[in-house]
Amino acid sequence: MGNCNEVREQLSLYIDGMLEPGEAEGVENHLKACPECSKEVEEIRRLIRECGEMEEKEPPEYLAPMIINSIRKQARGKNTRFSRWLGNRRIVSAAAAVLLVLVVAKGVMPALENGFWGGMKAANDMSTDQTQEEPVAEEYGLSSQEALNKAMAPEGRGASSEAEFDVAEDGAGGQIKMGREMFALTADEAQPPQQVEQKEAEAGRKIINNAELSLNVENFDESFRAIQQVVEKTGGFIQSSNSYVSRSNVGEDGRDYKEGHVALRIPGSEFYRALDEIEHLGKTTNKSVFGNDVTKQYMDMEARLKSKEVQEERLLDILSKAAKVEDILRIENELNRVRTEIEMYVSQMRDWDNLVQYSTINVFIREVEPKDKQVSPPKMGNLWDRVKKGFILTTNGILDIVEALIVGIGFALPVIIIAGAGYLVWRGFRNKKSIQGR
Amino acid sequence: MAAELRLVERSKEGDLQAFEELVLMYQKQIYNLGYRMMGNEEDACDIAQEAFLRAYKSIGKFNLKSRFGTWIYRIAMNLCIDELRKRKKTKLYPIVHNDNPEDKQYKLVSDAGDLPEELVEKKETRLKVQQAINRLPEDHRTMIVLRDIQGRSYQEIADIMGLNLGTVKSRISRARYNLKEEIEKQTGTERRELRLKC
Repeated sequence: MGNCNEVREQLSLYIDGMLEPGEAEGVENHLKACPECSKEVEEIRRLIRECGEMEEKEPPEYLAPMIINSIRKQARGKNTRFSRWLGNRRIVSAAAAVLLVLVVAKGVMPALENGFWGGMKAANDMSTDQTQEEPVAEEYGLSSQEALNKAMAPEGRGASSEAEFDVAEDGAGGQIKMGREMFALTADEAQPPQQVEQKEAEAGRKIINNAELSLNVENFDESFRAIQQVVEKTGGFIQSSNSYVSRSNVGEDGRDYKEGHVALRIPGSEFYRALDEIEHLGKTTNKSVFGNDVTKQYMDMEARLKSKEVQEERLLDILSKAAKVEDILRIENELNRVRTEIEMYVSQMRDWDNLVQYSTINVFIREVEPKDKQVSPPKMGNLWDRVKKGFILTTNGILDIVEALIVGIGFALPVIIIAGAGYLVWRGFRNKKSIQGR
Repeated sequence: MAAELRLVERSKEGDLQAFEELVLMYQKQIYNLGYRMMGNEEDACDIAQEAFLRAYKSIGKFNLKSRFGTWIYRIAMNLCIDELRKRKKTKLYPIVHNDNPEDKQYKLVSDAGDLPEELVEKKETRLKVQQAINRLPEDHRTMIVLRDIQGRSYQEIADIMGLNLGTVKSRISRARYNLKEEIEKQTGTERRELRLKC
């Protein structure tokens, strides 16, 4: 029995018939003599039988299509893994790309604006340009078509506007009278009749006039000076002005052209005359006039002001007679409220007065090459200069862009690093999961 | 065999349809191999899919002298072993055996010829065996699956695993003893548990 261990090592092969004939005989002899080893053989046989009895499992129906599908996908593109990755994450990739572009653009933009493509070099820090000018003109042009037509009529304008003023005065008179009746109701005692009459004479019609002019001129500075003269002559003033060199409007000879905007305030009576004069300083490309009649609002407010003033006086009167502290306080409170209101009305009326007294004219001046005035022969003399200038300009622009791109990469680098790390983590995760399950 | 060889040859030339036929021929075997090795259906599917995909990618390198069946077996087997090792190392994904079909089949075939008690007993031992197999180390599990469950010859196993015959012999022998021990261990704990309950 001493060779039981030796035999046991051979039992497995003995069962499978994998032993050499001599060895098998030895094992057989041993088994006959050794019941323990015989038992062992039986156990192993049973175990093998158990294993062999395990049925073949039917694979799920989707397995074959799934395999074939993945193989077809593989067959379609050699670098499938990458394209699958891209395909699955198309949205993510798109978002990442947009982000990258934005980040790079953030770096690139300033260079573009300052150096190369920038439309203009602003002489002062001002944002008005042609694109802003257009919609404004359009808007006004539409809303005040009538006024424009009237104003555009070259002759008889004086007559027509005069006639209108006649009518206006009549109308105003009527309104004033109505207004006085109102005063009579509320402020009769306080207001001597003569004073009201005086007001009526002053009033006239309260019309706020505005105009916009767009001019194309041959010489900006000259035109600007001419406008200044008009303003001086009419007794108005220049509210604001600015000028800048237009980059989008470069002449053939490389000359810089100016553009500008002047806001004029002209005394109401001189409005049309000033407009007419300025209009003839150049070629008018757009003109719009619009008047805002605030007569009624003005009168209403005046009436309210009067009534408040009366109220104020009355309160003062009561205040002087009041004895109790409590009453005094209450009256003063009320007085305070009334005075605030009065101030509000006065300030609004002053604003209106100002606007009526001085009409506003916005003039947009644009310097252009007088193409229709003279035939300009091609200037060969400075051709080389212009070529050189252009070359330098473009080269500088390209250098700016290259520089900005490098800066842009700097901007993008953190994003790229994070995205790369994220991808690696994701890939590692996927590999781990690849077999584990779907 | 000749038909299979032709299919393989066509596949090597890039005939997708031929390869798909090979897939249909072998998917069941590979699936079962995966199932016995990994212990559950999902992993079995994944193993099968990945094995055929890899086979397709490297069909050009396939040597026509060997059999396609052996080759695809080898690919699948390596995948299983890699995966098992990876899981053992990371301990992240313990293998779940609770979907063992031997449990489910019981109800379906209980009205067949066998007596119920016998059948239950049979199912129980079979489940026990499968669980014990799942606890074996990969190299032993491989041997039991190939030799005792799928009934491959020693030579085939040697070819699939790329081992020499002697190694296969000793490994099968050791694997069987190991399995026997596992089952005994299991029965022992079960008995102990039973005693504790009583």
